[in-house]
Amino acid sequence: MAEAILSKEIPVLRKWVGTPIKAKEALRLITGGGRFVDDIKIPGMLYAALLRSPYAHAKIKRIDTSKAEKLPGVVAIVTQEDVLKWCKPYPQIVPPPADKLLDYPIAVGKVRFAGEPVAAVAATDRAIAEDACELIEVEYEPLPPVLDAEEALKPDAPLVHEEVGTNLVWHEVFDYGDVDKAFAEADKVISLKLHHHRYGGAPTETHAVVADYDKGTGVLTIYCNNQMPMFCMALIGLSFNFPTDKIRIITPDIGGGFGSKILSYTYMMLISILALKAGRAVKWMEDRREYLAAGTHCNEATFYVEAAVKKDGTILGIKARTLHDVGAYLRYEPVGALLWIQVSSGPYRFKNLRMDVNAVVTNKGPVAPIRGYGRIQHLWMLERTVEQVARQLGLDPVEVKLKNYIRPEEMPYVTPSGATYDSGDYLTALKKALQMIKYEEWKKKQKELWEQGRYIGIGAALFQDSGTNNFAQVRLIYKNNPFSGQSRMAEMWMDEFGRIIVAVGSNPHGQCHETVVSQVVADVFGVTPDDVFVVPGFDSWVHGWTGHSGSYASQFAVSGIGAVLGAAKRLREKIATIAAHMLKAKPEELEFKDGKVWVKGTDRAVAFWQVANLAYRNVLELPEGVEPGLRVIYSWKAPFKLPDLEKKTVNATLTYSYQAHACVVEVDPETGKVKILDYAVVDDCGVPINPAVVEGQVHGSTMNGIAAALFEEYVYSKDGQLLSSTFMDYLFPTTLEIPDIKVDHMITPSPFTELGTKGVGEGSLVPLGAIAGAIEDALSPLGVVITDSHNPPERIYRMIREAQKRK
Amino acid sequence: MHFEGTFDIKAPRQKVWEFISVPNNVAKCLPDLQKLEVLAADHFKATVKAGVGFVKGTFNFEFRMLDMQPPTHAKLSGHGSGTGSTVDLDTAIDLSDLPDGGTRMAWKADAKVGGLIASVGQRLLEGAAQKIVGNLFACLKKQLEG
Repeated sequence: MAEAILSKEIPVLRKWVGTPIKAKEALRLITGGGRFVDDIKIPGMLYAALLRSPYAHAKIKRIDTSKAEKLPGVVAIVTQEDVLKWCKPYPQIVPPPADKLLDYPIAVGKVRFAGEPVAAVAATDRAIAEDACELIEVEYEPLPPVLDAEEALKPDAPLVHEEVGTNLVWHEVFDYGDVDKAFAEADKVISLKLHHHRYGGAPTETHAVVADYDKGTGVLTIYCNNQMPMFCMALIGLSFNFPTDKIRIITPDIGGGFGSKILSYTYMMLISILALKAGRAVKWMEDRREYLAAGTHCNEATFYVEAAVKKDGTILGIKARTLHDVGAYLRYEPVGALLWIQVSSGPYRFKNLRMDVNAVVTNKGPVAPIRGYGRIQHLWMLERTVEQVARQLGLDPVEVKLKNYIRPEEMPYVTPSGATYDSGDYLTALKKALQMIKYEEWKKKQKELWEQGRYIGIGAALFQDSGTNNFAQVRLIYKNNPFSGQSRMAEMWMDEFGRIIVAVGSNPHGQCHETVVSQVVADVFGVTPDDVFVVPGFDSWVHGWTGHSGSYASQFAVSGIGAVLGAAKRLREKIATIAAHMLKAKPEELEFKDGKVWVKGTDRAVAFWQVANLAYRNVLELPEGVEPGLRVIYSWKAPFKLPDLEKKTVNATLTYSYQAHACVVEVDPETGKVKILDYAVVDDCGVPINPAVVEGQVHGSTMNGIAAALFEEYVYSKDGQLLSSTFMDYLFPTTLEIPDIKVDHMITPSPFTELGTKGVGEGSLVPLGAIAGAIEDALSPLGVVITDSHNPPERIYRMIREAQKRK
Repeated sequence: MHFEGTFDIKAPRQKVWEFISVPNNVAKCLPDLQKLEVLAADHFKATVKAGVGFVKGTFNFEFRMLDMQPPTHAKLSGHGSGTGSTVDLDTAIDLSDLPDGGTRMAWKADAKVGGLIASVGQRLLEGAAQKIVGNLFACLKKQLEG
């Protein structure tokens, strides 16, 4: 195990926090006992299938559903006409003119990507619904598609959204420090063009909705697996012609999300409209091809980068023009094009940065806030740039990184864009990861192996995982956006038998919230996690929520736990008041232990159930002024400020976990295939509530990153057809493709959170950086420069051949 | 996808023209024809079974003969959908006399495929499409000579 680096004492009672107890959710999930949307059955329920566009770009001239309607078993069909009746366009967060962009749950007038829903059918079973889709006649007038951000900006490019008048939906220049001076003082300027490819998350469970409209009460219950439905409620409420007070949203167990399950609000509305039209409950379960085709890709980005550097490798400043290909609709965009602002200088100390940011629509699937949303692209760009700085100056990339890293004593550190990095020791983390792969030994062997014709390379990178986001950053996209900050709500009660129950407004989909909440609460009440029941799933009528509730942006250990701690303390205080009255003591003389409240240092105690009995039934014996019951709500708010709109600075996130990765790869020059010989990760997410849960996140995210670097890519044909539309072509890895990963941990508590915790799980696609560096290092005798984040054998093979031709 | 080819038919040009300008004759050469509905002399609907690899299904095509310049030039344009896919096909035929009294047919075809077959079968698509289009013209020749 790693030596824990404790920069200060952890100011909490820590019997259970920090202990790797078994996940409470694990048994039911791994034994098939979980309850997912697809497990929900409602009497009379219908099954839906969606007809999707075969064209990337086409006008819809006519939709004829008459044959499909006649198919026995078909109950309702929804097309653009119904959607226009039920919906206003979704609100957009961009400034004019792109705010005019029209987006609905289904294509209206035009299809803008292959796979866009055109019609939805509800039938007595799924097969009939699918057959009915085949019977719907849609007459299209194909239009030329635009599939590349740079092409989309040309004056004669086809327009994806005519009402906007341009494919450039957002453009902004951010200028920090004195970039011109930095470039004037540079010994050398390094220029690069880089491309970050499209990949996505691949949750076991695809999108799913059951919509159930109850005519009697007028209540519409939407069962779904959206990972932040109450944030999406703003979009649903503003566009759906249905009373929001009668919408109830339930998320049961969710089988993974990775950010892709944020955009399913379009499906939540579409299936609701289908249920309203059918007058019966409707279930829709997406299939894998639909999932891969219909968006939820990560932001594809092209970077034109220039770095001003000194001969010794010191980075003075960076200029980057970025083009984000956000696909056919904005949905959550252009936030992904902005989120570099959370990690503007990455782990580095340079102060001068100019970002010229462009978000562009194309006829590809819409992008989603995929794991590491908007930060991974930027951090990968910085890693590529710093490594090229080193190579072009004839220096060791590792040395240049260490030279430019922010020092631990500089923490908390304010970045050029105004973000405050809370804590961390990047140098130690990277050095430790390098030790774990025996960096020095490989470095010595490398030359010899090159001479033998073996291309071995070493790569190392450190990415931050910025967590607990400040929504006010979207005001830098458009000053009028009415959101800011970050907040969470938790409700907690002790029942009349003395049992503790917690309900948190989150939508966990693999993060073990039931486990970590019970650990934190157990410490507050002096009980065990088994004594704390955390209400599973989410129900908007049961769990307290705010407009920020959900599970996203690496933050539950901060925001969710902040709300839980607040509620726990509030409940504890009330219990202590009643117990003090019963024990004829002062509240501050009491301690909570083993299900009882004790007068410290004595054998006088009352059991929780005795206190609860007073609170719920024996209320005349309650102390004066104490309300009956033991039920509290607490809302937590992050200590953020609004952005400085002039300087375009904002403290965009509260905590900064980080991971340092180091790896050794061998490239086969005959085939271009990369084999990972060794892989090590050093993780620091502050105080881990449950180290086993953190370990799971580290392994999962490392696998995600290796897959992105070497296997997974959404590839489009020149007609805009998605070619990697099944797992035959979209190469989702198995354990056979992923090497053993060595993991070690450091603990640098966050000074900004009560328990010293930081969010974790997202900013962790570090393999993109480490593997790109390792391949470039392996092929350095050939002078190959890695400029794409995705490096399958074919690309490497071509680069090797081209390099050999040059020689 | 673009394909083209040329072949010689042992039949006079007028006979070739008369043959290929009849929908029934052309339709017979479509792959696995299930149903034919002639709406006009230059307009017909055909249901065919086709596919790529394991992705096979029924397609409903609508064909129109365009730009008819007897007996030298014709275009056949078709749009088909089915199996979650669409096919847009544009073909052009040019006929010329051969010294031996036969006819030379030069053909071109542009096919655009979208949806399931395009995304799942892409790697096999070009070969499969070439085969279908090639068979179509080979079948015309066979019928004319047979």
